[in-house]
Amino acid sequence: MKLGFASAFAMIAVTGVAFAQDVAITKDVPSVEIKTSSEVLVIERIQDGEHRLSSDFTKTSRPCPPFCIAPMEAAPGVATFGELELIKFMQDALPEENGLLIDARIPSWFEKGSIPGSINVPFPLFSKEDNPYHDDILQALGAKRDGDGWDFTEAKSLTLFCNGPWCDQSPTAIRNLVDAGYPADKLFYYRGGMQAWLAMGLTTTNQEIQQADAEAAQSATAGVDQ
Amino acid sequence: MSFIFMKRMGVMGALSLSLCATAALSQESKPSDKDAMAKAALASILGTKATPEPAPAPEIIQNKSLGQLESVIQRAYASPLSNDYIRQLEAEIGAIDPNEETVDLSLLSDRLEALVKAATVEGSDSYIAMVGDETEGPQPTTQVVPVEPRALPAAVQGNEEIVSVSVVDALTTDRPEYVIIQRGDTLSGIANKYYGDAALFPMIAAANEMTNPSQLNVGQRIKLP
Repeated sequence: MKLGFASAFAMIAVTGVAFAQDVAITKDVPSVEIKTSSEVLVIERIQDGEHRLSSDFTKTSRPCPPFCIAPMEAAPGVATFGELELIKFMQDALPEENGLLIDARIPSWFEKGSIPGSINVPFPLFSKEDNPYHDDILQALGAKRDGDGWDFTEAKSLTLFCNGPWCDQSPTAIRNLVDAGYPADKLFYYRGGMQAWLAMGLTTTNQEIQQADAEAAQSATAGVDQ
Repeated sequence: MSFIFMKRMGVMGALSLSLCATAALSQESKPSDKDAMAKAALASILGTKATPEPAPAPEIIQNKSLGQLESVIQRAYASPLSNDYIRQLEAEIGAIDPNEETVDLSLLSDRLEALVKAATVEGSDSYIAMVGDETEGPQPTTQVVPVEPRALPAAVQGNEEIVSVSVVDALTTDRPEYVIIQRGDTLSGIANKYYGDAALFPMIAAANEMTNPSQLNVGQRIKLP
């Protein structure tokens, strides 16, 4: 019965009625809803006070190199985001489509779960080395050919992330973009990456699948109770 | 209760289901290689454009398979860039000593190709004599093309005027004053080519005050004594 209520609260909150959640994002923000052209993203935290990570993200000692601790700054002039700055970026950029949240990991990681609203542009695609798609990617991001170089006036703001502070894929991608002339003030680095996002129990694409399953079961139980 | 649940499913379930499908599909197709990654990435970047006002080139990307992508991009680039390429060519030719009898345009072959493409696209009557064809058969490693330096800048300034380059077989007896080092060139190879004797390379080295004849840089200008 207690579970049923918690579940009901969560659902009502999502449908627009403001009810307090046990685990809010900040004191005043229980959850965030972001409307994009194709979907409504809901960012909230796992409400189960006993929830623990049991995934790959509980590992502490991946070998370095290559999994070394990344510095706070990915490149000069590129701001580093925490979770709240990232959510703010998503609220500002995703509905207006003037910015992209880029998961720079390889596709197999992206499919296992990512930050809602992110798109997958694996880090090798930002490199000039051994990558015939470098220019196509820049162009798709809004850069325009200008003689031998690029005009980034219309280029989108980008926030890049990967698996966490021990992952160099997004910092590498950011440095590649800066090398290509992408303005540093249009680039942002979410250093915490999936590691920090998951550690806060924030919504992931994969978790939605799991939650939908769990709540389907709970909903069935609650229906019987009531 | 179930209504509310359905509503929630409407918001998040749809996304979840589509993600399920995506995941299942990509597990089958294993997008491990760069082509597949790029295709997916480009599609997802461009897919975020909701309002139908995409830039022309991305629109083409979206509608073409990735195999056709490169040629499409090249064509898209060639048209708006043609004037830039011409200006660039002008600048480079302008930088060449106007008294110089020969210039090596093989270094500019990329740009000449672009110009040819631009000419094709714009239907202008620009004429470019290409220097060899890198895709066919064994090529001389150094291609030397005499041009008329005074004629070119004026022609290029006209923009649609004829850019005329007469191609001379590098193996003719007309020995150029200079050659520009290409990838794979050796001094003895050049000596063999222009003097018929590879052993004459010290002569070239001396004329260019080179202390180490085996050290050549791509793009380096070598005087032929």
